[in-house]
Amino acid sequence: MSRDVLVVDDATTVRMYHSGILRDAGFGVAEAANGYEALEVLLERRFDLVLVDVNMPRMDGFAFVSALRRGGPNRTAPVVMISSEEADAAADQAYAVGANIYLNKPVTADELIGMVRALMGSSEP
Amino acid sequence: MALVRRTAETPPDGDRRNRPRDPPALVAALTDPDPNVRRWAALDLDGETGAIAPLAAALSGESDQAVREALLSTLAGIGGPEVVGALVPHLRSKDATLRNTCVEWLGQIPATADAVPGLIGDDDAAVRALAVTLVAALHDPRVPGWLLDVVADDPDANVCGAAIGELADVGDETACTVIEAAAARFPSDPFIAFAARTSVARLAGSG
Amino acid sequence: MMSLPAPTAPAGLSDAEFGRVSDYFYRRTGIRFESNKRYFVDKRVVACIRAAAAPSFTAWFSRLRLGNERELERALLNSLTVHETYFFREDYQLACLVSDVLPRIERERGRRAPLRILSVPCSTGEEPYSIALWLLEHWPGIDEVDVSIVGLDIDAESVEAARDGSYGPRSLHRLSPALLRAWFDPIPGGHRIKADIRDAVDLSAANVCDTAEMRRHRDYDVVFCRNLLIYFDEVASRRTAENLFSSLRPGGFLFLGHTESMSRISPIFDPVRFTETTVYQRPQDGSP
Repeated sequence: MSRDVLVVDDATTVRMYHSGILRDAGFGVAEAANGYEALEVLLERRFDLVLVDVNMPRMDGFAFVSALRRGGPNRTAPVVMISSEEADAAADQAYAVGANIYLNKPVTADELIGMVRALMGSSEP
Repeated sequence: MALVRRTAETPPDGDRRNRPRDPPALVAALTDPDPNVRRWAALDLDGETGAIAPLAAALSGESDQAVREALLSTLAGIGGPEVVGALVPHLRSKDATLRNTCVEWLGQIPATADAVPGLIGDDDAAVRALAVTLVAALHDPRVPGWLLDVVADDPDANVCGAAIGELADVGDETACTVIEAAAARFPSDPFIAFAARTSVARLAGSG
Repeated sequence: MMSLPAPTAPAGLSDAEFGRVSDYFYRRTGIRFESNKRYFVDKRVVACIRAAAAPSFTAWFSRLRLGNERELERALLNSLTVHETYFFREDYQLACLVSDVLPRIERERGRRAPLRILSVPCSTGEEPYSIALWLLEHWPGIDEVDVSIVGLDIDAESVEAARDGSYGPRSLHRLSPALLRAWFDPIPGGHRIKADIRDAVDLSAANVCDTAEMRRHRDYDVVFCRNLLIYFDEVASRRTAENLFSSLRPGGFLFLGHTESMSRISPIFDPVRFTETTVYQRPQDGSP
């Protein structure tokens, strides 16, 4: 059965990069260009994991994860946040809003797949 | 049949906002405890160049999303260097929402163009990264040139990589050599390798 | 591989070019073109390139993407979107109104509370009259509840035509003969909606982008604003979204067009998912 990931990033190239890595590893991938669109997609179908950038116009990653954790069918989906910011404060904020993992850019294919598999494994019943 | 015709009417509460606009009162209302009042005050200050400072100040503390949108749409509608000057400092904010919302709105204000050289040359790579997003949203013929400068010179891999990605949309074939040179500056960065490859492919016109 | 006859010069788009323009269009409007729309898109984009007197796709696309020439964007948007209005267009939304939205409103406000519905742009009237007919045909509550339907359009001529209520076969093609018999009178060339429906719907001219003009329109329970916002630039569409927000009472619902999403426009609404449709809600006062 296909495991599906939603990739959320306003920058097309970044979205393509992460989507490509995930597809090559056999995951089903859907994309959203901003947090609102992602929230709507997340109301429509189930995902096994959400990958989201911190810095996005319109709805930043933290606000997105907060909103995701408030309700809906994907409320408890594992979330990987990606950012160029290394500050501990940013990682703390990520975990405070309910992200599972906080990664710094650039993320290598191995790193990303390793994290995603670990998180999906841990969400199995 | 109960379709009942009512002509467009003033609402039953006797809309207090049908009074003539009173800017000082509206500015005072920007800090009213009721978010609906704050929101209407922000909308009603549309075009009030004298209210830029209080509008921008109200933004920092505002947590209600609809009010924030109203403040920003009024500020963006006024536009001009004073508004840009008031919003640019928020790019350094610890509040990710405020930071990113300002990036978005600054991209809609033509006067932001004058602030771009300073932003893409900022000491803080985080600010430069936001500047790349900002530049990509501006409707200005200098955009491709600015992005090229960032790709050619920026020492930070994330900033450079972001600019390579954005250049794929607005650049032309001549950007390819600059992109390839940048990729050579960051030989072990997997995202830059990817972004350079895909951007060059797009700009050179092949599949 | 498509086996369509190749268009005459210039050739259609390369895969990469189709990808770029689809991506741009998606960013701009939220509308995605799958590969089965390839021929549709190719033909129209080539026409746009020619109309812009651009020497190549890349030259045209750079100008488009830069955003300085609104005319390029407008031409592309107009050629790639479908503009027609007819009765019961996107009627699954009318069904959603009756099956999901009205019951919600009833739970919040009580069975008998009067209902106010706004249709903007009302164009030549097909939409507000469709709402009226659908409620009359499908909503039991219509017998107990006072419903007022208001239509607004920026074009005074369209409003006049809407008030007149005469339609040809294209507008009426989705209506059954029984429906036509019940609510319309035949006229040369078509049908005219009956006077008691015309009289029950209030139609007037207004510019939905203009906050001052829209201020009069408040406390609506439901607003339909379908296939309008995608034609506006970012600033105008956000301001219009604010005006629509203001026109709704807290907790009121907004329907956009089938391919549209508020996610492209403004963050101030909450998306609510009903069966197969996303509708937008103005948050209740005091929500987070």
